[in-house]
Amino acid sequence: MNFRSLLVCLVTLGLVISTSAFLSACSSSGGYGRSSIHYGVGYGGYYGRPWGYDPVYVGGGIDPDSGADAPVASQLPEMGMPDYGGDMDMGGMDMDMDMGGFDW
Amino acid sequence: MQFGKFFLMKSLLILGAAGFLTAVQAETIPDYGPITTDASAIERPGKIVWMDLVTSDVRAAAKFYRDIFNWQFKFSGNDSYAYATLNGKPVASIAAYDEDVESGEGLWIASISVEDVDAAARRVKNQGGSIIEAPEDLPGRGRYTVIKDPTGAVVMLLRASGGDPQSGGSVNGWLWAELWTDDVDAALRFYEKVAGYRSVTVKDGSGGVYQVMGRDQTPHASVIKTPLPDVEPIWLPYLRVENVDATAKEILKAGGSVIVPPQKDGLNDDVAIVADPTGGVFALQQKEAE
Repeated sequence: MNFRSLLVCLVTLGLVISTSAFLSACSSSGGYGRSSIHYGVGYGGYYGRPWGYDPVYVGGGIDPDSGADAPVASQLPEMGMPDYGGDMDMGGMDMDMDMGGFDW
Repeated sequence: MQFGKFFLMKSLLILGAAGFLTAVQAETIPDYGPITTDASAIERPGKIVWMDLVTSDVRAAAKFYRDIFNWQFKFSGNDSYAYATLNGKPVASIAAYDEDVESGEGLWIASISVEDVDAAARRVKNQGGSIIEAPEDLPGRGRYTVIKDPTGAVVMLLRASGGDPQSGGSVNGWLWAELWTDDVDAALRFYEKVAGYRSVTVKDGSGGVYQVMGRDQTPHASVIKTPLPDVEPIWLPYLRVENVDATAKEILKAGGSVIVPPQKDGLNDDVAIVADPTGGVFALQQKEAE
């Protein structure tokens, strides 16, 4: 190998290394390059169990049809998406809307 | 000639190594994917536009949602991320907790569309909330921040680069979101300032009331005082199903749990709260497809 070929090889190798380093730097600053997604950070200590118990509170073989006998049944208010045309009460609230309710 | 062969082999080796490094790097980078593939999508501030499940077992969670809800998945990032579609349209993503997170119980995180993530993050701090993850870009997805409201509920604020999806209306797609909190008034004040919501009071079937937050004359989420003991403030996502009883039974068979079964008294006979096998809690609501 003469000097010229050695120089070409070194320049090529340098380009490869610098390109890889550049890509790594870009990925780190943009949230890439992690083994997992970024928005898991911070959830381990105090967000891991928002339900306060293992999610087998009622499950584990219980027949969902027997829900009326579930221990929590009587404590629940109406939940979920309201029926369209629901009864909107615009009076007595702190943040009255000026269009008389949402356009259901 | 000898030099030519040597140089060629050397170059090929170097290029091969570079290609290998690039491939390895690409494999570890999740393909986040857009929240809508509609080229004409526009921004819809205030809308709950996306749901992310963070969990310790992406594959197990994906199998569950595929088997029960017919979601299709594309895995990336060494299986640390799965992008889900329903009937060809983006529906959700599942991501692994970072390796330094000890607890791996699944958690669904709702995303609220905002006009300006950085400005919204500043409002979060001014209104007593806290920033869990500072605003950051996810290429292909948009700019986001994860925050905690003053009552303790975690939610993501997102400005999607490709616009926001329209309401789905599909069975097995997202239907609604509900904020459970111990301080409804404080939560309403916070989201009014941060997400531009207004709220209305709705009478329920038992004579009680609850709040619905919305914007631009469109309701987006309800707010109720946390009704169950030992539950921290949380955004609860609702999936639309055709038959809540049948789906709850399928979930039990698939290794999931039923936390609150459908009720027989009529008030919540169309609703169940369930969990996937990795602990991700969500709700089912029975609604006919639009």
